[in-house]
Amino acid sequence: MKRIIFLITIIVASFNAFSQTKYEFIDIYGEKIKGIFSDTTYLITFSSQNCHQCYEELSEFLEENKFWNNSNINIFIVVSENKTSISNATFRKHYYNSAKSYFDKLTKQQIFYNTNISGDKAKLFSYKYDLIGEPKVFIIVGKKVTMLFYEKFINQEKDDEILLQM
Amino acid sequence: MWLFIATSFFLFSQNNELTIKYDTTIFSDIQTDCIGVNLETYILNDTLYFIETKKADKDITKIIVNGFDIKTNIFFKFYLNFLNDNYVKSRSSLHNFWINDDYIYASLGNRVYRYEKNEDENYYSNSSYITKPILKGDIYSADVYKLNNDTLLFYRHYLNTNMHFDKSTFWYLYSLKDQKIIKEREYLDCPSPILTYYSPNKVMCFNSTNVFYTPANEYKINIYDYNLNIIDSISLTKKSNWVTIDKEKELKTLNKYEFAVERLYEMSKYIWDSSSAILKIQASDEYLLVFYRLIINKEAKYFHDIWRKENDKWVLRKETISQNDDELSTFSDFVLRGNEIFKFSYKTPLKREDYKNENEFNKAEDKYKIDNDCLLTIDKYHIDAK
Repeated sequence: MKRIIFLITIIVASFNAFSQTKYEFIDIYGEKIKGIFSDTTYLITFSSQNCHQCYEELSEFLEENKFWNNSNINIFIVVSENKTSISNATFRKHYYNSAKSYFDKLTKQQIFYNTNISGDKAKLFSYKYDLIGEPKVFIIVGKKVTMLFYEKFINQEKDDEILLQM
Repeated sequence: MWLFIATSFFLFSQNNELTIKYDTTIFSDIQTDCIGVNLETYILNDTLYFIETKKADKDITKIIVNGFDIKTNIFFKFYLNFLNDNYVKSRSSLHNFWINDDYIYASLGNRVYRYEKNEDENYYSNSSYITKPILKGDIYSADVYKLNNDTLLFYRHYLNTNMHFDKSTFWYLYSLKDQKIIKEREYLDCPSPILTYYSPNKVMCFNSTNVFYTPANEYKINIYDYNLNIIDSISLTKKSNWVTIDKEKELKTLNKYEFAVERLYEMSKYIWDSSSAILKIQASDEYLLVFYRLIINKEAKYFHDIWRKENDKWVLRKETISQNDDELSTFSDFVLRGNEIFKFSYKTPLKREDYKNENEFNKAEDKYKIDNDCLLTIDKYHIDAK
């Protein structure tokens, strides 16, 4: 009985956690998806207007540390562009090609498009960011979400880490 | 030198109005990103040549030159090989190319290379480079165009962070025959630095006798002879919905930030989004197309005008063509020859008649674009009386 109650508690807690998430993505085919993350997940914001050197450095860091080959780590690129662009299949593919030119191991299943956009701002979890700006890395471990600017992330400096609500 | 300023206000009658008419689309088997690719083009006799510059940048030692026979609608290709040249191997920028009966020329980095035909006629290899002594430092990313009199026009319209904007736009002439500069560097009026940040940024073009340049922040196009002497100028001084760039604001932003990325952000938000400008001009011997943006209800909208040369004067024949009414847009990649237009576009091979309705067809096209590359096509249009 205790086991069943515990199981129900876990299911309800999980359901609450996901139903409370205010973020929503579309995939490359334009289908709505909720981000359901397990293990350690890294979400890297991507915009074609961002600094290209930053993506090169990020890509090198992920390669050198074998992030792509680690089965306990999920990496997703979160495209943050204006709503009109991401509603267009040609543009979604273009952003994928563009991201893949930096992260060559990226698959179509590893790219999301952030639909939580208002004007020139995007929102992910409780964090608002400019569409144009340096890339950010959202790190999800269990229910804990933190955000680091890419430079701090590749230098593994957690002093400016921002804790966010799931 | 004489200067003639023709200011035209609705001088054309309805009967003389021109329009751009669609003729046909020809599919190639060249697979490309559906959003399009960066192309450099050159037209010689009845052949249109084009190079995908991104592909060229990936492997600069083996460049594919695509050809399109305008009369037969047949595509073909050949290759440019670089031989043992360490300079080229360290470069990643192809600017322009041009072709004559014997050679192909391409400008790369700060050099212009000449290629000769190999025994296998599909291959050309570089035998030598020319012009090195005259290309120094800040000319590095200049465009090079071959005018019809065997002269090279070196032209630059770009503001980097170390350069003062009044020196951002300049040109000079180099004689291919005499292998020397025949007109020294001359700075052009570039009143607004922000213009150099936004594409298509094609503010210079030429035809078989003239060079055209627009300062772009106003509706004005200066016309030069091949010696770069100004001989004419056309303008529309009272273009409705034209909002001139706020120079004071612009200079303040430019001086406030050191890096281009910071400037770009500020300028986009507070200046560019509410300003008009000419973004592209394209000329043949008979026609001049002017592409620009106007601010309507606080929003930038794109339009174009058609000018025609009549009795040696450029006359406005169709004004403020909305780009919803015409498939040709500011961002289209096209070549103008006489009254013919060859537009590059990127399509799926799917056919509307194979699907029940528009919705199904659109869905299938979207899926195709995600899973495949598109095919490069050439859409033919011509300028004609309405």
